[in-house]
Amino acid sequence: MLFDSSNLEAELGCLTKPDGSAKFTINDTVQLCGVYGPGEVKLMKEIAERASVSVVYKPRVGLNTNREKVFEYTLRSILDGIIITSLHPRTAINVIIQEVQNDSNYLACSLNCACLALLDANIPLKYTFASVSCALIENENRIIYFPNAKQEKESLMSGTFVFDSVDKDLISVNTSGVFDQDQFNFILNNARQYAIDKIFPLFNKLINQQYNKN
Amino acid sequence: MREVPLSLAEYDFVIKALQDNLRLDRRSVYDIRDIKINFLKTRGACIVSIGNTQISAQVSADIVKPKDSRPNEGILKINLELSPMGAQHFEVGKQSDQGVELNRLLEKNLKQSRFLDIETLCIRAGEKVWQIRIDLNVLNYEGNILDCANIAVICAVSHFRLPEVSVTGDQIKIFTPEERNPIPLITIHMPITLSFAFFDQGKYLVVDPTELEEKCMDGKLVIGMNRHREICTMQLSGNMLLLKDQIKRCVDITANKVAKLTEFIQEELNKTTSDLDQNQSVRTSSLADKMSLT
Amino acid sequence: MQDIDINKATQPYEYYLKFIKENCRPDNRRLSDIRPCNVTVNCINTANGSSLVKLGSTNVICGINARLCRPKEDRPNKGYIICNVEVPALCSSKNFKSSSSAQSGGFTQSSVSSASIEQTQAMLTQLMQDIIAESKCLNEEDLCIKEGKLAWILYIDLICLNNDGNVQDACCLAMISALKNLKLYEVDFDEEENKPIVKYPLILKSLVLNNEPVCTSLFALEENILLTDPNKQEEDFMKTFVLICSIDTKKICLIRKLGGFSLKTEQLNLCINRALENGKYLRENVYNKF
Repeated sequence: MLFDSSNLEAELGCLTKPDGSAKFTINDTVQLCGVYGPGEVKLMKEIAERASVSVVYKPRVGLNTNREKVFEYTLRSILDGIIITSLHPRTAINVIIQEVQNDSNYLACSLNCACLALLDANIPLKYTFASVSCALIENENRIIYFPNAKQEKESLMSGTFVFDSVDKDLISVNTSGVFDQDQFNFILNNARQYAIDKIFPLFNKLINQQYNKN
Repeated sequence: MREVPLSLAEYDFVIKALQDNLRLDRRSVYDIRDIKINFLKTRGACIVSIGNTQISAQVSADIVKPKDSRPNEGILKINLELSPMGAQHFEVGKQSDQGVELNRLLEKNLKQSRFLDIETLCIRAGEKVWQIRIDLNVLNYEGNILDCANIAVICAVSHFRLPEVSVTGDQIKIFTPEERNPIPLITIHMPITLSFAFFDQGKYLVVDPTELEEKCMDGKLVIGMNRHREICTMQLSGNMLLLKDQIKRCVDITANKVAKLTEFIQEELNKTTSDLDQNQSVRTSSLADKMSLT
Repeated sequence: MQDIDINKATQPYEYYLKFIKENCRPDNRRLSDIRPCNVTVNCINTANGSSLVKLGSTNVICGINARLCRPKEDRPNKGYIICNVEVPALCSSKNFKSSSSAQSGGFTQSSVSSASIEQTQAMLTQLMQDIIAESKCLNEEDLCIKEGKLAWILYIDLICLNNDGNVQDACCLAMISALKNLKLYEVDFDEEENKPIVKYPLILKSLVLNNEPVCTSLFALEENILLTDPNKQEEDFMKTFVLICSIDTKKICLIRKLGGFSLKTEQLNLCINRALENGKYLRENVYNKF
């Protein structure tokens, strides 16, 4: 059973200085992403055969804590596998994500935003990726996509899933709550279906609009 | 990454254009670029842009122990970060000289001029006060961060609502927004800065320099003023000497602009309070639509 | 004989793959086996609870210190659990540089596993904090003695003494074993004098955990072969990494998968089955010993 009333919006090329930029809105969560690259890399970070990807996540208030560092590491490991880094050795690709407004779902929103910004910057990718965040309500056996903080607290389990665009397999997952194997498979399949039905078509539409406009 | 260096051809072109009173974006020498203020749904959050320079401001509040030297005053912390998103040569980590200078100017203009009444932030003298923290991030750098950041702080602070607290004996209870309406912060005046860039040993001046003009300039004059023609900050930096008349002229220009800017900001803030009643989440508005500056 | 030695040094990955094709590993394990595991508790006398875990050659020590504090205004009926994991320079030759974002070398480092020390420590600390929060093995409300006035604050410190791969599983084992052996003394709150009173003679009370989380790390090489419990060399080769934390024979509280290869649903289910079996094995043989 599906239940969806989320509002997804995105905008490409909203900043003039970064090579690629994107703004992604899910309900009330807004994230902004800027990409620079491929460009000059510091000697310390230089890798001989591939590009060096670095991710910076700036929280809405306050300084960087562990939560931000973990997210930066997760995103970098995802991007390292997706960007064709061997095409640009001894360069740096910098991805910066700024949290503008946060009403839960920040992980999924940032990942989608990063994907769009990379496409806007014309960085070669093996495939694009889409991220879906959903929560499973126990008694009613239904799934809420992009839940807000209150819905997430009341749910049995919630998770953020990242799928690739070619085989629609799982690239990354991050769950919270206690569940068993069947519930996990149920939510995984539904999340995959949502990505295929809603998110990948949204990306296609945005890219078409961007290039038809030019 | 490294900054793209300035070429001699670009420098010559900018100076020659100024000799004929022309600027590259077709503005007059005294024009400020279009200012847009974008308030977000969260209270105390806004994105301000002057031309293409965009800065986001986020306000948050915490209860802390006050400083020993000022037991019945709250604390105001302003932190401007040159986010690596703004330009490719901005780095994370230790602040560059430019970052330190900007933070110091904002502190002088806003904290030392007492634009926010910090005595009203006291909850329990000597023990608990509110600490208001403003985080500024440069999203896009196309010149003149200071003016943009200044307006962002003023808008964000006026937009922010502080949760109500009640003190009973030893306990302090913080009310959630559902229980009691949060209260606005009390600002005494609005000190707005204006940046002037000087070229060729002070011969030519422009208001609100773009990034290219900032690279070519000899020196910079920053004047912070409020609408009552009180000067809150003045800083002259760079490699030049100015005459008394030049500085007086700049002060007059500032007074003129500040009056119009204060009106514009006030109008926008009034609109957001009415927006709340209509439950509109984001509002963007542009200065150029309202008035023409000469 | 010499050919094999040369191969191992010049083409470590191909050498390793030869073993995998025969369904075993150079250290004589099957693909789904973990290394032999050994846990000692109460090794630190000055801490309220402690444990030392040896997972193969990976050594992690955990010490828990309990202090009294006054809870903050916005959460008056909860205590605090603060985890901190350190991966110091002594545990591995790769951790030598202490600068913040150096990526050491670039040759055999897999893009999934390379991280600076700061990031590794942040990851592990956050992981330990999440394990406690998600599994609900210990509630912060249980640590409150008197609402608004007195509560326990537990400082859980983990230090990796030797890094031979899979520090996260070892850390989880160490933390949960130490928590099981944590002994807090009974404290009362005196309303009139407004301070805590410890009952003498000391009554020690051990903490009861609601469940026993066990972490299992699995990784994948090409052709989507899945292996459990990577050692240091295998961590350099891995193409993707899955971490599953189970709390009993059926329930899971945490699934994390980092980037790299994408996995199909069947492979994920295989990972979950292996994690549940591993959890059951470790609970019977390790946790139930004390």
